[in-house]
Amino acid sequence: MREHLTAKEISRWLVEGPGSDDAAHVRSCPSCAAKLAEARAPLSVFRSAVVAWSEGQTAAPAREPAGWVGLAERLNFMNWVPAFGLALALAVLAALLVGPSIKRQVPTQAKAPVAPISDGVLMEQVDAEVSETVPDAMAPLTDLVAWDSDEAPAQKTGAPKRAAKIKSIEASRPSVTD
Amino acid sequence: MGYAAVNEMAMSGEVAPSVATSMGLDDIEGVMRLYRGRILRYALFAVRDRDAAETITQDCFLKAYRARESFRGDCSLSTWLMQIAVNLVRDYARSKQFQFWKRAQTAAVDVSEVAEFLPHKGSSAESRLLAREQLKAVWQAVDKLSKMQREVFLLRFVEEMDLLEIAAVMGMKESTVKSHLYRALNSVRTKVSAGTDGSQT
Repeated sequence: MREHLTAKEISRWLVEGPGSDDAAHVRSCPSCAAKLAEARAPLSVFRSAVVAWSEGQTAAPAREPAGWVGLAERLNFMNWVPAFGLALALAVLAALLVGPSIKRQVPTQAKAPVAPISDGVLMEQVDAEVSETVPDAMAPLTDLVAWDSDEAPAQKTGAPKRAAKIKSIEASRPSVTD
Repeated sequence: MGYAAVNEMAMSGEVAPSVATSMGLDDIEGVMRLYRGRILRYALFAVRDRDAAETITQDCFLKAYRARESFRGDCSLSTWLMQIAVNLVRDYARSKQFQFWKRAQTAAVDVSEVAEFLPHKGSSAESRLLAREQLKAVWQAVDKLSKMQREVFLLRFVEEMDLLEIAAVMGMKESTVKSHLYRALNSVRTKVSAGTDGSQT
Protein backbone atom coordinates (compact mmCIF):
# COMPACT_ATOMS: atom_id res chain seq x y z
CA MET A 1 0.00 0.00 0.00
CA ARG A 2 1.19 3.48 -0.86
CA GLU A 3 2.18 5.84 1.96
CA HIS A 4 0.45 9.17 2.58
CA LEU A 5 1.41 12.21 0.57
CA THR A 6 4.29 14.22 1.97
CA ALA A 7 4.39 18.04 2.02
CA LYS A 8 6.81 17.89 -0.90
CA GLU A 9 4.44 15.72 -2.92
CA ILE A 10 1.58 18.09 -2.21
CA SER A 11 3.70 21.01 -3.42
CA ARG A 12 4.58 19.05 -6.55
CA TRP A 13 0.90 18.36 -7.13
CA LEU A 14 0.11 22.06 -6.88
CA VAL A 15 2.98 23.16 -9.10
CA GLU A 16 3.15 20.43 -11.73
CA GLY A 17 -0.22 18.73 -11.40
CA PRO A 18 -0.96 15.24 -10.08
CA GLY A 19 1.05 12.17 -10.97
CA SER A 20 -1.02 9.09 -11.77
CA ASP A 21 -0.01 7.34 -8.50
CA ASP A 22 -0.80 10.39 -6.41
CA ALA A 23 -4.19 10.90 -8.02
CA ALA A 24 -5.18 7.27 -7.45
CA HIS A 25 -4.04 7.45 -3.84
CA VAL A 26 -5.91 10.67 -3.06
CA ARG A 27 -9.11 9.18 -4.45
CA SER A 28 -8.89 6.34 -1.96
CA CYS A 29 -7.37 8.19 1.02
CA PRO A 30 -9.60 10.72 2.82
CA SER A 31 -6.70 11.92 4.96
CA CYS A 32 -4.56 12.87 1.94
CA ALA A 33 -7.57 14.36 0.16
CA ALA A 34 -8.15 16.58 3.21
CA LYS A 35 -4.49 17.59 3.35
CA LEU A 36 -4.55 18.48 -0.34
CA ALA A 37 -7.76 20.48 0.06
CA GLU A 38 -6.23 22.32 3.01
CA ALA A 39 -3.20 23.25 0.91
CA ARG A 40 -5.36 24.35 -2.01
CA ALA A 41 -7.89 26.39 -0.03
CA PRO A 42 -5.81 29.56 0.60
CA LEU A 43 -4.69 29.61 -3.03
CA SER A 44 -8.29 29.27 -4.23
CA VAL A 45 -9.43 32.02 -1.87
CA PHE A 46 -6.65 34.29 -3.11
CA ARG A 47 -7.46 33.57 -6.74
CA SER A 48 -11.19 34.03 -6.44
CA ALA A 49 -10.81 37.32 -4.55
CA VAL A 50 -8.24 38.72 -6.97
CA VAL A 51 -10.21 37.65 -10.05
CA ALA A 52 -13.46 39.05 -8.65
CA TRP A 53 -11.70 42.29 -7.74
CA SER A 54 -10.16 42.67 -11.23
CA GLU A 55 -13.55 41.94 -12.84
CA GLY A 56 -14.97 44.70 -10.67
CA GLN A 57 -12.23 47.02 -11.90
CA THR A 58 -12.97 46.09 -15.51
CA ALA A 59 -16.68 46.67 -15.05
CA ALA A 60 -16.20 50.01 -13.28
CA PRO A 61 -17.39 52.78 -15.65
CA ALA A 62 -14.57 55.14 -14.69
CA ARG A 63 -11.97 52.59 -15.68
CA GLU A 64 -13.72 51.21 -18.78
CA PRO A 65 -11.99 52.62 -21.83
CA ALA A 66 -14.22 52.91 -24.87
CA GLY A 67 -11.85 52.39 -27.74
CA TRP A 68 -8.86 54.59 -27.04
CA VAL A 69 -10.53 56.91 -24.57
CA GLY A 70 -7.87 55.85 -22.07
CA LEU A 71 -5.22 57.46 -24.23
CA ALA A 72 -7.24 60.65 -24.43
CA GLU A 73 -7.50 60.58 -20.67
CA ARG A 74 -3.74 60.41 -20.46
CA LEU A 75 -3.43 63.51 -22.58
CA ASN A 76 -5.94 65.39 -20.45
CA PHE A 77 -4.51 68.68 -19.20
CA MET A 78 -5.38 67.89 -15.59
CA ASN A 79 -3.10 64.87 -15.70
CA TRP A 80 -0.17 67.13 -16.51
CA VAL A 81 -0.82 69.63 -13.72
CA PRO A 82 1.50 67.90 -11.22
CA ALA A 83 4.28 67.79 -13.82
CA PHE A 84 3.83 71.47 -14.66
CA GLY A 85 3.80 72.33 -10.96
CA LEU A 86 7.02 70.43 -10.41
CA ALA A 87 8.67 72.10 -13.42
CA LEU A 88 7.59 75.53 -12.16
CA ALA A 89 8.93 74.83 -8.68
CA LEU A 90 12.26 73.71 -10.16
CA ALA A 91 12.46 76.85 -12.30
CA VAL A 92 11.84 79.06 -9.25
CA LEU A 93 14.45 77.16 -7.26
CA ALA A 94 16.99 77.50 -10.08
CA ALA A 95 16.28 81.23 -10.29
CA LEU A 96 16.81 81.61 -6.56
CA LEU A 97 20.10 79.74 -6.67
CA VAL A 98 21.57 81.28 -9.82
CA GLY A 99 20.17 84.81 -9.41
CA PRO A 100 22.46 86.10 -6.63
CA SER A 101 25.65 84.90 -8.34
CA ILE A 102 24.66 86.73 -11.54
CA LYS A 103 23.99 89.88 -9.50
CA ARG A 104 27.48 89.63 -8.00
CA GLN A 105 29.11 89.32 -11.43
CA VAL A 106 27.26 92.20 -13.05
CA PRO A 107 28.96 95.12 -11.10
CA THR A 108 32.51 93.88 -11.84
CA GLN A 109 31.72 93.65 -15.54
CA ALA A 110 30.19 97.15 -15.47
CA LYS A 111 33.18 98.69 -13.71
CA ALA A 112 35.68 97.68 -16.40
CA PRO A 113 34.91 100.39 -18.96
CA VAL A 114 34.75 103.13 -16.25
CA ALA A 115 38.49 103.98 -16.57
CA PRO A 116 39.31 103.76 -20.25
CA ILE A 117 42.95 104.02 -21.22
CA SER A 118 43.50 106.76 -23.76
CA ASP A 119 44.85 105.84 -27.18
CA GLY A 120 48.01 107.89 -26.66
CA VAL A 121 49.00 106.02 -23.49
CA LEU A 122 48.37 102.69 -25.15
CA MET A 123 50.54 103.61 -28.15
CA GLU A 124 53.37 104.66 -25.82
CA GLN A 125 53.20 101.30 -24.07
CA VAL A 126 53.33 99.48 -27.39
CA ASP A 127 56.30 101.60 -28.55
CA ALA A 128 58.18 100.83 -25.36
CA GLU A 129 57.60 97.10 -25.77
CA VAL A 130 58.66 97.10 -29.43
CA SER A 131 61.76 99.23 -28.91
CA GLU A 132 63.28 96.89 -26.27
CA THR A 133 66.22 94.94 -27.72
CA VAL A 134 65.70 91.98 -25.41
CA PRO A 135 62.33 90.92 -24.09
CA ASP A 136 61.91 90.91 -20.31
CA ALA A 137 61.71 87.17 -20.16
CA MET A 138 65.18 86.85 -21.83
CA ALA A 139 66.90 89.41 -19.63
CA PRO A 140 68.49 86.91 -17.15
CA LEU A 141 70.14 85.09 -20.06
CA THR A 142 71.78 88.23 -21.36
CA ASP A 143 73.19 88.76 -17.84
CA LEU A 144 74.84 85.36 -17.92
CA VAL A 145 76.30 85.93 -21.40
CA ALA A 146 77.76 89.29 -20.30
CA TRP A 147 79.77 87.89 -17.32
CA ASP A 148 83.22 88.24 -18.89
CA SER A 149 82.64 91.22 -21.16
CA ASP A 150 83.76 94.68 -20.30
CA GLU A 151 80.46 96.12 -21.28
CA ALA A 152 77.82 96.05 -18.67
CA PRO A 153 74.81 94.57 -20.45
CA ALA A 154 72.88 94.91 -17.29
CA GLN A 155 72.84 98.59 -17.90
CA LYS A 156 71.17 97.97 -21.26
CA THR A 157 68.49 95.86 -19.76
CA GLY A 158 68.16 98.06 -16.75
CA ALA A 159 69.44 95.59 -14.12
CA PRO A 160 72.64 97.14 -12.77
CA LYS A 161 72.30 95.78 -9.26
CA ARG A 162 72.12 92.20 -10.49
CA ALA A 163 75.23 92.61 -12.67
CA ALA A 164 77.22 94.18 -9.84
CA LYS A 165 76.31 91.35 -7.54
CA ILE A 166 77.50 88.76 -10.06
CA LYS A 167 80.81 90.60 -10.46
CA SER A 168 81.38 90.68 -6.70
CA ILE A 169 80.74 86.92 -6.48
CA GLU A 170 83.28 86.35 -9.26
CA ALA A 171 85.87 88.46 -7.48
CA SER A 172 85.46 86.68 -4.15
CA ARG A 173 85.99 83.19 -5.72
CA PRO A 174 89.43 81.66 -4.90
CA SER A 175 91.60 81.34 -7.98
CA VAL A 176 92.22 77.77 -9.29
CA THR A 177 95.97 78.53 -9.66
CA ASP A 178 96.17 79.48 -5.95
CA MET B 1 -20.96 30.82 -29.32
CA GLY B 2 -22.23 34.16 -28.04
CA TYR B 3 -19.91 36.99 -27.24
CA ALA B 4 -21.01 37.07 -23.61
CA ALA B 5 -20.21 33.40 -23.25
CA VAL B 6 -16.73 33.88 -24.71
CA ASN B 7 -16.23 36.83 -22.39
CA GLU B 8 -17.23 34.77 -19.38
CA MET B 9 -14.86 32.01 -20.39
CA ALA B 10 -12.00 34.43 -20.88
CA MET B 11 -12.59 35.90 -17.45
CA SER B 12 -12.26 32.48 -15.94
CA GLY B 13 -9.25 31.69 -18.13
CA GLU B 14 -11.09 28.98 -20.04
CA VAL B 15 -11.32 30.64 -23.42
CA ALA B 16 -9.96 28.51 -26.25
CA PRO B 17 -7.02 30.18 -28.04
CA SER B 18 -8.59 29.46 -31.42
CA VAL B 19 -11.76 31.32 -30.43
CA ALA B 20 -9.83 34.34 -29.24
CA THR B 21 -7.45 34.31 -32.19
CA SER B 22 -10.29 34.11 -34.70
CA MET B 23 -11.69 37.33 -33.24
CA GLY B 24 -8.70 39.11 -34.76
CA LEU B 25 -6.71 41.95 -33.29
CA ASP B 26 -8.51 44.42 -35.55
CA ASP B 27 -11.36 44.20 -33.09
CA ILE B 28 -9.16 45.54 -30.31
CA GLU B 29 -12.13 46.58 -28.20
CA GLY B 30 -13.37 43.02 -28.14
CA VAL B 31 -9.91 41.74 -27.28
CA MET B 32 -9.68 44.30 -24.49
CA ARG B 33 -13.01 43.21 -23.07
CA LEU B 34 -11.79 39.63 -23.03
CA TYR B 35 -8.32 40.05 -21.62
CA ARG B 36 -8.24 43.36 -19.80
CA GLY B 37 -8.98 41.81 -16.40
CA ARG B 38 -6.23 39.26 -16.79
CA ILE B 39 -3.58 41.77 -17.88
CA LEU B 40 -4.65 44.30 -15.26
CA ARG B 41 -4.41 41.94 -12.31
CA TYR B 42 -1.03 40.64 -13.48
CA ALA B 43 0.29 44.20 -13.88
CA LEU B 44 -1.19 45.23 -10.57
CA PHE B 45 0.51 42.51 -8.59
CA ALA B 46 3.75 42.96 -10.48
CA VAL B 47 4.10 46.73 -9.93
CA ARG B 48 1.87 47.05 -6.84
CA ASP B 49 0.39 50.31 -8.01
CA ARG B 50 -3.10 50.76 -9.40
CA ASP B 51 -2.41 53.72 -11.69
CA ALA B 52 0.77 52.19 -13.07
CA ALA B 53 -1.08 48.92 -13.66
CA GLU B 54 -3.81 50.76 -15.58
CA THR B 55 -1.17 52.48 -17.73
CA ILE B 56 0.64 49.21 -18.41
CA THR B 57 -2.63 47.53 -19.34
CA GLN B 58 -3.51 50.27 -21.82
CA ASP B 59 0.01 50.24 -23.25
CA CYS B 60 -0.19 46.49 -23.61
CA PHE B 61 -3.27 46.68 -25.85
CA LEU B 62 -1.91 49.67 -27.73
CA LYS B 63 1.31 47.80 -28.45
CA ALA B 64 -0.59 44.67 -29.43
CA TYR B 65 -2.76 46.67 -31.81
CA ARG B 66 0.24 48.32 -33.44
CA ALA B 67 2.07 45.01 -33.77
CA ARG B 68 -1.01 43.02 -34.83
CA GLU B 69 0.55 42.16 -38.19
CA SER B 70 3.39 40.34 -36.44
CA PHE B 71 1.03 38.03 -34.52
CA ARG B 72 0.92 34.81 -36.52
CA GLY B 73 -0.83 32.63 -33.98
CA ASP B 74 2.27 30.62 -32.98
CA CYS B 75 1.03 30.90 -29.41
CA SER B 76 -2.37 31.79 -28.00
CA LEU B 77 -3.46 35.41 -28.05
CA SER B 78 -3.56 35.34 -24.27
CA THR B 79 0.09 34.20 -24.06
CA TRP B 80 1.13 36.82 -26.61
CA LEU B 81 -0.59 39.61 -24.69
CA MET B 82 0.91 38.37 -21.45
CA GLN B 83 4.39 38.42 -23.04
CA ILE B 84 3.85 42.07 -23.97
CA ALA B 85 2.63 42.82 -20.45
CA VAL B 86 5.67 41.10 -18.89
CA ASN B 87 8.01 43.20 -21.06
CA LEU B 88 6.16 46.39 -20.21
CA VAL B 89 6.36 45.60 -16.50
CA ARG B 90 10.11 45.00 -16.86
CA ASP B 91 10.58 48.29 -18.72
CA TYR B 92 8.53 50.06 -16.10
CA ALA B 93 10.47 48.48 -13.24
CA ARG B 94 13.71 49.70 -14.78
CA SER B 95 12.48 53.25 -15.14
CA LYS B 96 13.17 55.89 -12.54
CA GLN B 97 9.48 56.66 -12.42
CA PHE B 98 8.90 53.25 -10.86
CA GLN B 99 11.65 53.77 -8.30
CA PHE B 100 9.96 56.99 -7.24
CA TRP B 101 6.44 55.64 -7.13
CA LYS B 102 7.57 52.47 -5.44
CA ARG B 103 8.50 54.59 -2.45
CA ALA B 104 5.40 56.73 -2.66
CA GLN B 105 2.90 53.85 -3.07
CA THR B 106 0.14 56.39 -3.53
CA ALA B 107 -2.25 54.14 -5.38
CA ALA B 108 -1.40 50.83 -3.77
CA VAL B 109 -4.25 48.36 -3.46
CA ASP B 110 -5.09 47.28 0.05
CA VAL B 111 -5.86 43.68 0.96
CA SER B 112 -9.04 44.79 2.72
CA GLU B 113 -10.31 46.26 -0.55
CA VAL B 114 -9.77 42.96 -2.35
CA ALA B 115 -11.28 41.04 0.58
CA GLU B 116 -14.59 42.77 -0.16
CA PHE B 117 -14.73 40.74 -3.35
CA LEU B 118 -14.54 37.37 -1.61
CA PRO B 119 -17.51 35.27 -2.63
CA HIS B 120 -19.64 34.62 0.43
CA LYS B 121 -22.96 33.37 -0.85
CA GLY B 122 -24.32 30.76 1.53
CA SER B 123 -21.17 30.66 3.65
CA SER B 124 -21.14 30.95 7.42
CA ALA B 125 -19.61 33.88 9.29
CA GLU B 126 -16.88 31.58 10.53
CA SER B 127 -15.89 30.39 7.06
CA ARG B 128 -15.93 34.00 5.80
CA LEU B 129 -13.59 34.98 8.60
CA LEU B 130 -11.30 32.05 7.80
CA ALA B 131 -11.28 33.02 4.11
CA ARG B 132 -10.34 36.60 4.99
CA GLU B 133 -7.49 35.38 7.15
CA GLN B 134 -6.27 33.04 4.44
CA LEU B 135 -6.43 35.83 1.87
CA LYS B 136 -4.51 38.16 4.16
CA ALA B 137 -1.84 35.52 4.83
CA VAL B 138 -1.36 34.72 1.14
CA TRP B 139 -1.37 38.43 0.27
CA GLN B 140 1.35 39.17 2.81
CA ALA B 141 3.37 36.15 1.72
CA VAL B 142 3.11 37.18 -1.95
CA ASP B 143 4.18 40.67 -0.95
CA LYS B 144 7.40 39.27 0.52
CA LEU B 145 8.30 37.17 -2.52
CA SER B 146 11.01 38.25 -4.92
CA LYS B 147 9.80 39.90 -8.12
CA MET B 148 10.41 36.80 -10.23
CA GLN B 149 8.83 34.43 -7.71
CA ARG B 150 5.80 36.68 -7.42
CA GLU B 151 5.32 36.83 -11.18
CA VAL B 152 5.47 33.08 -11.73
CA PHE B 153 3.29 32.50 -8.67
CA LEU B 154 0.59 34.78 -10.07
CA LEU B 155 0.75 33.28 -13.52
CA ARG B 156 0.41 29.77 -12.09
CA PHE B 157 -2.05 30.20 -9.25
CA VAL B 158 -4.12 33.19 -10.37
CA GLU B 159 -4.00 32.90 -14.14
CA GLU B 160 -3.73 29.10 -13.93
CA MET B 161 -1.27 28.94 -16.79
CA ASP B 162 0.70 25.74 -17.28
CA LEU B 163 4.45 25.61 -16.82
CA LEU B 164 5.33 25.70 -20.52
CA GLU B 165 3.08 28.70 -21.07
CA ILE B 166 4.70 30.52 -18.14
CA ALA B 167 8.13 29.68 -19.51
CA ALA B 168 7.13 31.17 -22.89
CA VAL B 169 5.71 34.30 -21.29
CA MET B 170 8.64 34.87 -18.98
CA GLY B 171 11.30 33.86 -21.49
CA MET B 172 12.70 31.25 -19.10
CA LYS B 173 13.39 27.54 -19.13
CA GLU B 174 10.67 25.37 -17.69
CA SER B 175 13.09 24.16 -15.00
CA THR B 176 13.73 27.75 -13.90
CA VAL B 177 10.00 28.39 -13.71
CA LYS B 178 9.59 25.29 -11.55
CA SER B 179 12.40 26.36 -9.27
CA HIS B 180 10.86 29.81 -8.72
CA LEU B 181 7.43 28.27 -8.21
CA TYR B 182 8.53 25.77 -5.59
CA ARG B 183 10.29 28.47 -3.60
CA ALA B 184 7.32 30.80 -3.86
CA LEU B 185 4.83 28.12 -2.90
CA ASN B 186 6.90 26.99 0.09
CA SER B 187 7.11 30.58 1.34
CA VAL B 188 3.37 31.05 0.95
CA ARG B 189 2.48 27.75 2.59
CA THR B 190 4.80 28.45 5.50
CA LYS B 191 3.30 31.88 5.99
CA VAL B 192 -0.27 30.58 5.73
CA SER B 193 0.28 27.77 8.18
CA ALA B 194 1.97 30.16 10.62
CA GLY B 195 -0.93 32.59 10.25
CA THR B 196 -3.53 29.86 10.76
CA ASP B 197 -1.71 28.46 13.80
CA GLY B 198 -1.40 31.95 15.23
CA SER B 199 -5.10 32.63 14.81
CA GLN B 200 -6.04 29.31 16.39
CA THR B 201 -3.93 29.82 19.51
